[in-house]
Parts: sequence; C-alpha cells; structure tokens
Amino acid sequence: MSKNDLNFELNLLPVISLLAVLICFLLLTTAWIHIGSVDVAQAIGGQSTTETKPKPEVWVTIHKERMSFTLKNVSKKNKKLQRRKPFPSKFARRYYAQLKKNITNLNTALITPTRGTSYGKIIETIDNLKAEKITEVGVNPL
Amino acid sequence: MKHSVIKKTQMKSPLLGMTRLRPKQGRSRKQVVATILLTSLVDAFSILVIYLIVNTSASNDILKDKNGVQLPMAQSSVSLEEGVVVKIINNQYYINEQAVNVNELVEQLHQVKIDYKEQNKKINLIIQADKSDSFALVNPILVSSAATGFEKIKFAVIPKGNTKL
Repeated sequence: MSKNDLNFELNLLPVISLLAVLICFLLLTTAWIHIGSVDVAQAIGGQSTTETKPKPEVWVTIHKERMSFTLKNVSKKNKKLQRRKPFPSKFARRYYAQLKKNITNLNTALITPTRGTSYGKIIETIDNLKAEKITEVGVNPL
Repeated sequence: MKHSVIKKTQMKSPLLGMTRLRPKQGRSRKQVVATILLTSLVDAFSILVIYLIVNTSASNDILKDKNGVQLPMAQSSVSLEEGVVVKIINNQYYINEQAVNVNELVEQLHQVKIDYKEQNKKINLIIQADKSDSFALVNPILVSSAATGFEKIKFAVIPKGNTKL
C-alpha cells in the first residue's frame, strides 16, 4: 500500500452474501409455531388432614357437550351456586366467573371426564378455569 | 484503492468524495457514479440474523415431529419446560420417541424417572396427544404417572392467538 492509499474500503460483498445465506438458513429452520403447556395436578388423594381450614373446591364433571358442577367446602349460601344438573358447556366460562366473584378464595378445581370426553375438551375446561384465576386444576383418572 | 472492487465496477464511494486526505470530489466528472450504502444493509442483515437466532428457542426441541398430531389450543399456557414426553400417535404410546405398550407404561416411566434423577434433569411429564383423542387414551398415562410419582404433569398445547411464545 503506497503512502497515498490511506483510504480503503472493506469489501462488504462476501459479508452480505454470508449473511444472506445465514438468513435463508435461519428462516427455513425456525419453528414459527411455538408450543406451550397447561399444568395440572394429580387428583389422587385429598387434602391433608393437618390443614386447619379446608379450601373451597369446584368439581367439574364433563358429559359430552354438557357439564355439571359440585361445590365442596363452601358456605351454605354459596352452596346454592352449584349446578348438579348438567348444562351446556358453552356457559361454563361465565359460570366460573360467577363462582370466582362469589367465592373469592376458590382456587381449586377437579375435573372428572368420562371415557368419551375428548382431550381437546379437557384442555378447554382447564383453560377456562385458569382464565378465571382458578389455578390449581386436577384431572381425575377414570 | 487501485484494486478496490467498487473502483473496478465504476462506482464511487461517498467516503472518497468527502475525505480530507485525498478529496476527489469534482475531479472525475465523466465517471458514472452509482452509490449503494452497503453498511446499512449489513446492519439490517445483522439485526435480522440476531432476531432469527434468538427466535429459534430451545423449547420447541422438546417436542420434535408431531406426526400429524393436532395439539389443542389454550389461552393460559406457559412455556414448555424440559421433561419426559409421552405421546399418543394413532393409539400408540411413545415415551421419548420410543414406542411403548400400554401395559409397560408404568415400568418404562419408572425407569425413565430413575434415569432423569441420575442426570439431574427436571422430572416433568409432558403429555402430547391429538385434540380429538378420547380421555380413555390419556387415562393410562395419568394412572401410570400417579403410580410412578410424577408430580408435575403438563399437557402440550398451542398458545391461542399467538404463533410465537
């Protein structure tokens, strides 16, 4: 390099080529659909007898397109909210909201599906419960 | 600069015109000047590469090929953690990609749990099933996991209204 050649330029073309190849590779290999999970607890065994105050619980039974709800460890007044007679599952979300409004410390739910209940329906139920801040959800095996 | 690629392709750098060391602005008026600012292009490419590398998260490696299994969607999902993956594909059970008979679920899960404990891995049980599968198919996994003492059970889902985590 002579004294006059003080200004020089970096040849950016190979850098750009390399980056372009890298971008193509990453675009092809990136998984655009991510997978999440909903956590559940095992519903075997009950609450510990050493616990002084039993927690309120809602037991959800899924029958095909209908659901019934039983309330445990709630006051007599709130007991009236339970729905033993199955009603359409599309109203379930509204029912959970109503339950949560009346029983603020309701955080536990136990889902009892039948043999024919679809896996998608169970997930939907868990999702609806969690959306209404009923976070401790268990699934009862057959 | 005599051997510059840009020089050879009859392009003129804006740096050359503005330099204090050898100002060339106005000297070669006959030259065709085509300036492309490659630096900004490299910057943009670099940002794109970084974004794509970050976006390629490790969580998806947990569940590899889904073999046509359509996972259910859920709004209140959390990011997937490492764990023992139990799949149901065409009524066949798989534990960590290995086909298992329904009668051997307890035994196999127990073995996998011991292995995970030895390797200090997280002992979660991730259940992956098609949304149309009946609970009768999922039930043996729940029963086996209870028998083997898996405390955390996670159902694999696709976050609703969100293509990325």
